[in-house]
Parts: sequence; structure tokens; C-alpha cells
Amino acid sequence: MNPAVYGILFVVFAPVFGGLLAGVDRRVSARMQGRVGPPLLQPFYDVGKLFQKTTRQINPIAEPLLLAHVGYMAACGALLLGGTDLIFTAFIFALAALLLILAAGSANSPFSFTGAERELVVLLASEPFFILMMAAVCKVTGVSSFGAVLASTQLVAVQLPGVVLAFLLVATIKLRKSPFDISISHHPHQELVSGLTSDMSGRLLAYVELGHWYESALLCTFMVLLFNWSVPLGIAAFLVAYALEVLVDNATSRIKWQLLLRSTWVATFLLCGGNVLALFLLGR
Amino acid sequence: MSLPSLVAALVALPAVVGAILILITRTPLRNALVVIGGVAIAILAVATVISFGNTSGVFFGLPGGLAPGKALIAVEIALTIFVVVISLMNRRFLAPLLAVAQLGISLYLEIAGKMPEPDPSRLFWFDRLSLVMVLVVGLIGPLICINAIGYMRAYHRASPMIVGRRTVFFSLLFVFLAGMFGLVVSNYLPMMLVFWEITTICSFLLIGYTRTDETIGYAFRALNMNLLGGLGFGLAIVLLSNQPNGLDLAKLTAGPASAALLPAIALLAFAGITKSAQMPFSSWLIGAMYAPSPTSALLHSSTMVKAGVFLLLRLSPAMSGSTVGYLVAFVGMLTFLFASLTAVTEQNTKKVLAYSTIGSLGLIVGCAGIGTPELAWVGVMIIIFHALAKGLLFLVIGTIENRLYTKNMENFDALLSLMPRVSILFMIGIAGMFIAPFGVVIAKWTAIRAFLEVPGAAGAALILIMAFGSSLTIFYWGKLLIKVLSARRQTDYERSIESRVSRYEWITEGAMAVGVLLAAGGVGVISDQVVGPYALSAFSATPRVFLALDPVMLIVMLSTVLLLPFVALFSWLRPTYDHADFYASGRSANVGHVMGAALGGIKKVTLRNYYLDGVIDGALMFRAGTVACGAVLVAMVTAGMVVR
Amino acid sequence: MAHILLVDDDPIAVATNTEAIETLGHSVTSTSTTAEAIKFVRTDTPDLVVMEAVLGGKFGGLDLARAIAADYPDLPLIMLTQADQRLTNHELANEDREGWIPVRRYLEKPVLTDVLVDEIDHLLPEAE
Repeated sequence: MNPAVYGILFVVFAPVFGGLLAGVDRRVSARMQGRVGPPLLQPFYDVGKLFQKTTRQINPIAEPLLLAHVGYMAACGALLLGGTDLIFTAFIFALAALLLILAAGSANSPFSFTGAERELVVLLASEPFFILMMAAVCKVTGVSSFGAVLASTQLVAVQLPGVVLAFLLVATIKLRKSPFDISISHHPHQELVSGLTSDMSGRLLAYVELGHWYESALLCTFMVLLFNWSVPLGIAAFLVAYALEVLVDNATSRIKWQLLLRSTWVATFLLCGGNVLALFLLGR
Repeated sequence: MSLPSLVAALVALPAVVGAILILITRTPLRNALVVIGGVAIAILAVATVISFGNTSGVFFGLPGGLAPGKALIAVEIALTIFVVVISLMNRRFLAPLLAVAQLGISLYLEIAGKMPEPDPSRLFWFDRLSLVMVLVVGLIGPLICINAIGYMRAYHRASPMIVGRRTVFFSLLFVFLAGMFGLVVSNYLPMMLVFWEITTICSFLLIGYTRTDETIGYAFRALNMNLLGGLGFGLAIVLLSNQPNGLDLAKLTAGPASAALLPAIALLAFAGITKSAQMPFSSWLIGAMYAPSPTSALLHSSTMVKAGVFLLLRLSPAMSGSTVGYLVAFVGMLTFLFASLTAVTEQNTKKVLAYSTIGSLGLIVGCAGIGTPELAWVGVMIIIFHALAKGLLFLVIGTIENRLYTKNMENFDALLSLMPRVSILFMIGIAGMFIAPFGVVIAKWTAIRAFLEVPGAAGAALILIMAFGSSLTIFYWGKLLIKVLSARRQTDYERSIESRVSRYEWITEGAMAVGVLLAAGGVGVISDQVVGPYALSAFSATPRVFLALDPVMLIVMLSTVLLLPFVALFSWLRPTYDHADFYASGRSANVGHVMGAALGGIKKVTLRNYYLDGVIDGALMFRAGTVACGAVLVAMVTAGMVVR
Repeated sequence: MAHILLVDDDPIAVATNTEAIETLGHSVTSTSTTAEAIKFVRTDTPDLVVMEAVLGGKFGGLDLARAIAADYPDLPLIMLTQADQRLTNHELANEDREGWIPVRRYLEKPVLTDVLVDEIDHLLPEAE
């Protein structure tokens, strides 16, 4: 099939995947906490409801920025599956994340701004990993597009165990799970009120949810990239990792941003850096 | 007109304009001459480029086959006397020592008859790299000079007690341009050195413009560091004078250098490193931020520092694959890393721009040191896009600084409300620096792909530095962008701020912004027509694709090019939107960005960015970089001398 | 801990600026006419004077600046003014006339209070 078709399929179905994942997450978390939990399709009902609510605009620039955030998240997945260079997509991924930060910061209010700054720290903490991951995948397989990596005979995850481990760590951040949920969280009694989304309402919040679903789908795609020899295995690996994240989320409390930055950078440097160094020294 | 005569005019015209400007004291006449001179230079630059046509390089000499030897010595003597006099007047002693040492070397070579006769038909070399540099200097330079008219007026108005010497200032700007043009078309190394030193001295005089103790100190630091580099250049010439064709830059760098040539190459690289403010020589560029903003824009983003990386790019084929080359690359990449780390902790916006410049130059140096066609491509692309975007940013910061009277980014809060049009220009500049896929990011992407091919631990280190360094740049640009994009309700007074911006500033900054957008949109054309062919011919390489863009990527790229400006325009055009108040724990806020406080009363809301104190110590990072790069630099020069 | 004199007849500007300067730990006195200001400078020698150019509808602040600078050349003066284009054309017939007014900084309103506070900080002579 033409890779472009995969790209379009991503744009259409990724939110479905992300939304279902969010629904399962809430259900499982609830069970872990001894509650019944909402129906599995609740996230979709929520987003639908949000679109119907009034949107208070603090700074009108937030809406186009959020639309662009969702757009570039979707585009990132579309580009990735469509066969664009992996490292380029890593930069687009960073751009998409940045747009959310800009939208939050534009409200110029204490809670949103602090959320935005912390999210920027999160971006700083996680971005080296994604660049290194893509670079490492290209180095191992010698090719630079999604389709080519899947078709490659090199087993990426086997040769990049450090990268896989670091991915689990960084995914915790991107999925906004404790202990790394410093800038935004679904828990009601946050120290930053609602962090990034404090000044967003109505359809703006809906865009943030949509963006988050696309992001989850993207992370799953990255996992498939790592377990490139079997797509079902990659998806399964992602789901197992996600389950672990949910467990960790319910078991830990939030850490400070300084510790987040330091620990993530050290882990990225040691795990990914070590892995990459080994790759280069072994003379691929 | 033929290319040689156009080039001659290109060097002569700004020099002549500069000389005339020194004599004009009446402001309207001076302004007119600056505008006319600037436009003429731009037209000449474009004409030169058009007449170049499609060859890989052209060599020519002076009319009548004149040899420049005596003239060069005369100019050197004049420059040295000037340096000695002005240094002693300010009781500085290192600069005159360095200058006299350099003169001593030249005189010795000349008198002892050791200076070989140059080939009179190969004094000048014009190839696609010269073309790029001519366009950068010739289009951006005049825009900055014209912008300076508006800027300096506001600058002096705000500080009535600073003695203005605008006559000298504008004259120096043009003489500087002449020096740059001469530098980028020189093939005969002693001649290039003279132009090199002209730019050093212009930079020194421009940094010390306000003549305060602080700026004089920084000016001399710049002078010392650049003279030190010049001394290295001079020593290289001594070594090369013994080699056949040693002083012909094109022949010297046609391919990987032989062992006999490496010491000289190392010394020339040293000169390039000092001029492009790589660590450990970065402090002069930071100090230059205390000069008026057009100086910062001209010298420290668009032109002078580019002279250093220009030389290093010229040397790239000669350094390729050697220990010297690798060590040069690491000076550059470590500079990139440490400059980015330091930038994160800075509040002074001009200093953030300065660290960013040092970092970007470090990337170019990294590419030049490794020396592959792909990396040469990356280096030239960074030169183009960085000059445009950073030049724009410095000019815009100058405009903002003159109206808000501050360089502290914490005071740029809600710039979108205070100065909406300027904010749009600012955003275009920032986008040009770090948002995919504006030029600099395209270059970074290609650099990562090229570094993947570098073998061994070196390749791994380069990739790691790129990953962490790029993330840091996203962080500090992102912070600035948040400040610029935020909005609040203006007071009546505040609405009038933008009306005070002069039309010189609007026109020049607007033109630069358009330039950034056009270059981003036209990156494919630039690559195919100019930069790609240059990289191939410099390395005598087989044709290849440098920029692999599929149609979807192009669409995504163009959308980002338009994204921020569109978003900003959108907000600006919808002033009657229902601006609600932000959330402040239930106490609604009102005009002027305040909120109800806990025990009654009103508190002003102030929001401060993260500067990562406690995690990154900026001063420590800068010192660490200085030490690390200093060590690598010493290793590089030693390797050049010793490795056979 | 310095003593700052603020000369302005706009009560809102006076209130805002006084509060901002006082957060730096300096003490502020404000007057609204040229005469009062000169008297204050003579009797109480402040460490720095911030003055508006337009007082009572006329450009009294300019003369005030010149008067103070003539007698107290080391006293740092900041002009913080809402004077508009009228002032530009009237006073700046020759824009290159450096030193057209003997103040260290000439700032046009509106100025962020943080900025004013920075400027004062820079201009105050370093106390021990």
C-alpha cells in the first residue's frame, strides 16, 4: 500500500486509539483505587461535551496555536507513517509540543504560565531522547524511513536496549504520569490548579485532549519502530508499557522539576548515549 | 560589466562612502548618503552575483597585472601605527605588542625577500561561497546601516549625555563593509589578512563607540583576541611562504593537506576560531553586546563573525579527515553545547542572542572541521539563514530596547499587546532560528544525518552534542516566544508605543523578515542552485542529493513558515474578541495585569521565566566551555605542528 | 537607601512610581511644580531626580533640568515624560545637538515600573 495511505489512516484513527486508551486508563486506575470507574468511551463523551461548552478566550491567539498543536501532532504521525525522514519527524514532534506550551503561556496568568514553563522543562528533558532515538534507529538499520525500518533485517530493540529503557522513562513524562506530571494532570487537587490548561475552557480543552490522544498514538508508533520486526509485538509492548505507567502513576507522587530534568538527562545520556556509543564503536 | 570590475567596485564603493561620510556633519545629508550608499551597494552585490553565471569559480587579478605587495605593507603599517597610538592613549599594552609583532613578521618577510611573488592573475577568487557571502554582506549590511539611522536617533535621544559621534559611527559601518567584501573575494593570503585586520579594527572602534569605561574595556578585549588570531594568520603566512603555491588559498585547500602544510592550516584555523568567537575566545562577542544594536547586528550576526567561519569553510577540504580537522570540529561543537547551556540562564535578551550566535557559529565550525560535502552544505546554509534571522532579531531587539528601555526579557511581557507589529517581526526572527523547518533547523537535521556517517566515538559524541544542544536552543527560544506571545489589556498610554518607531526601522526590519520567509520558502532553490554545487566543487565530489524533500514535507514546511506570523496577525486583527480575565483563584483581574490579593488590595502580577538555577550555573558553564575548548584548541595547534 | 525626588503633576504617575521606587528601599519625595522642586533640591539634596517635562501644561521640566544641572552637575537626572511630538519638533531642531538637555536618561512614558527601577539603580552613585 502506498505509505501516504497509512498516513491518512493515522490521522483518522489515531484519536480513536488514543481516546480508547485514555478510557481504559481511567477504568483500570479506578479499579486500582477500589472504584468502579467511568465507561470505556467516556473520553469521547467528554470531548463531545467540551465542544458544546462556551469557550472563554483570555488571549485569542491560544485557539489557533492549539489547532496548530493538534494539526502538527497529527501531521507528525502522518509524516512518520508516510515515509518521511525519522529525524525530521522528531523535530516536528518537538514543534507540536512547543505549540501547546505557547498556547498555555499566552494567557499570561500565574497558573498557566508556570504550567507552560514546567512543560518547557519537560520538553527540554525529553527532546534529547527523541532525537537520539531516531538517530540510533537510522544508524542501526542504515535507512531513515518508517517503512524501510520495518522492512529491515536489523532487530532494532535488540541492538538498542538502552534506548528502549530510556523510552519507558521518557514515555512516563509524555503520557503525563506520576512522578513526572509536573505541568498538567488529571488529578483534581494539583498545586498548579490545572497547570497548562488553567485558562483553557470549552473547545480549547477539547483540542488539548485530542492532541494528547494523537501523542499517545505517536508514542505507540515509536514503540513499533523499536520493535520493528513485528508490528503486533510493538503494539503489545506499548500496551504493556502503558499498563506499567498506570501502575507507577498510582503508586508514586510528583517530583520537582529540577529532579525530573536531572534524572531524565542523566538517564538519556547514560542509556541512550551509551547505546549510541556502542553502536558507533562496533563500527556499523 | 565584467565580474572583476564589479568586484572592484564592490570593495571600493563602501570605502569611498565611508570616507565621504566622515566629512559630513549635517544629519539630513548624512542620512541621505547612508540610504543612497546602502542601496547602491545592494544593487552592486546583486549585479555581481548575476554576472557570475554558472562556473565553479573565477580567478582574476588587479588591472594591469599589478602586484599588491607594497600597497599591502603600507596599509599594514598605517593600521599598526593606529593601533599603537590608540592603545597607548588608553594605556593598553597587549594590543600594540600583538600589532607590532604582526607587522614585524610582514616586514621581515618582505625585507628578507622571503615573500614569493604571487601569481598576478590569481589574487582574487570568486566562487559560489563568495557569492553567498557577497549577498549576505551586500544585502543585509545596507539594511542594517539604514536601520541604524532610526535606531541611533532614538538611542541618543534617550541618553542625551552620551557624546554622539554618529559621523564616525556611520563611516565605520561602511568601511567595515568594504573590508568584508575584500575578505571574501581574496585568494592571496597576505591580502586577505589585511582585509581581516581592517574588520578587526572597525569592530574595535564600533564596540567602543560610547566611550564609557565598560565599553572601552570590551573593545580592547575584542581587539586583543582578534589581533591574536591575526598573529596566528601571520605566522601561517610565514610557514606558507616556503611552500610552492602556499599563499594561493584555492590551491592550498584543493584537497586534504599534506603533512608539510598542516601546521599552517592549524594556525589559519586558529585565526578563524578567534574571529568567530569560539570558546575560549567568546567573551569578546558577549562584551560587544554593550554596543548599540546595529553594531551587534552587523558585526556579530551577519558579517564579521561570518568572516571567521568563512575562512574555516575554505579550509574545510584541507582539514578533512585529519586530527587537526577533528579537533577544530570539537572546538566548534563543544562551543555549541556550552554556549547553549549558558544561554538558558541569561535574562538579557541581547546576550541570549549573542550566545545563540556563538552556538550557531560553533555548529558551522563543527561542520567545517569534519569536512564532508554534506557538512559543507550545512555550514553554508547556516550562514545564510542565521545571518538573516539573527540580523532581524538584533534589529528588532534594538527597536524594542529603544521604546521599552529594557533588554531584560522579563520586561517583554505581553509584547504582543504592547507592540503588536514588532512582535510579528520578532516572531518571524525567532521562528527562523529554531522552528522546523526554517533554515537553521533544516541544517541541524542534515547535520545529524551527516554526523551519523562519522566513524567511531567521534561520531557518537557529535550526535550526543547535537541532541542535547538542540534541545537547549528550543528551551531558550521557547521561553522568549512565550513572553512575546502573551497579551494583556493595554492602558491608553501603552497604545502609543509603536507609533514612535521610525520608518527606517519599519522598512528595514520588514525587509529582513520578508527575506527570512523567502529564504525559508526557497530553501530548495538555494540548495540546488548555489549551495549544493558549491559543496560538490569544493570537495570534488560526485553529485548527490543534499536536501531530500518530498511533497508532503514541503507542505508541512511551508505551513510552519507561515504559522507564527499568521497566528500573530490573527490575534492582532481581532481586538474585539471577548478578552476574559485570566484565572487567579477566583479573584478576577482587571486592566494592567493585576489581581486581587488575599487581604484585600491589588497586587501586580509578575511572571518570571525559569532560568534553571540550581540545575545549570550559567557562569560555570561558560567557564567550563572556555577551559574545555581551550584545551582542545591547544591540542589542535599542537597536532598541527607535531603530527607528520 | 537613597533619597529620590519625583517631580510630576500627574497623581497616578506619582503614586505608581513612588510605590515602585520604594520597593527598592529608597525614600521618595514628590513635588508638582518647578519652584517646589528647586527649593527641595537646594534644601534637601536628593541623590537622584526623576522629572516630567510637561508641568502645569508648560515645558517647565526642561528649564528645571537645566537649572538643576547648572548648579549640581553630579546629580543624576532622569526625565520621564509624556511629552509628545510637540516636544520633538520644538526642541530637536537639530537632532545631532547632543546634550540638548542635561539629563542622563530621557524616557518617554509609558515606562514599565521595573524599567524605571532598573534605570534608577544604574544611575545612583555606588554607595558603600
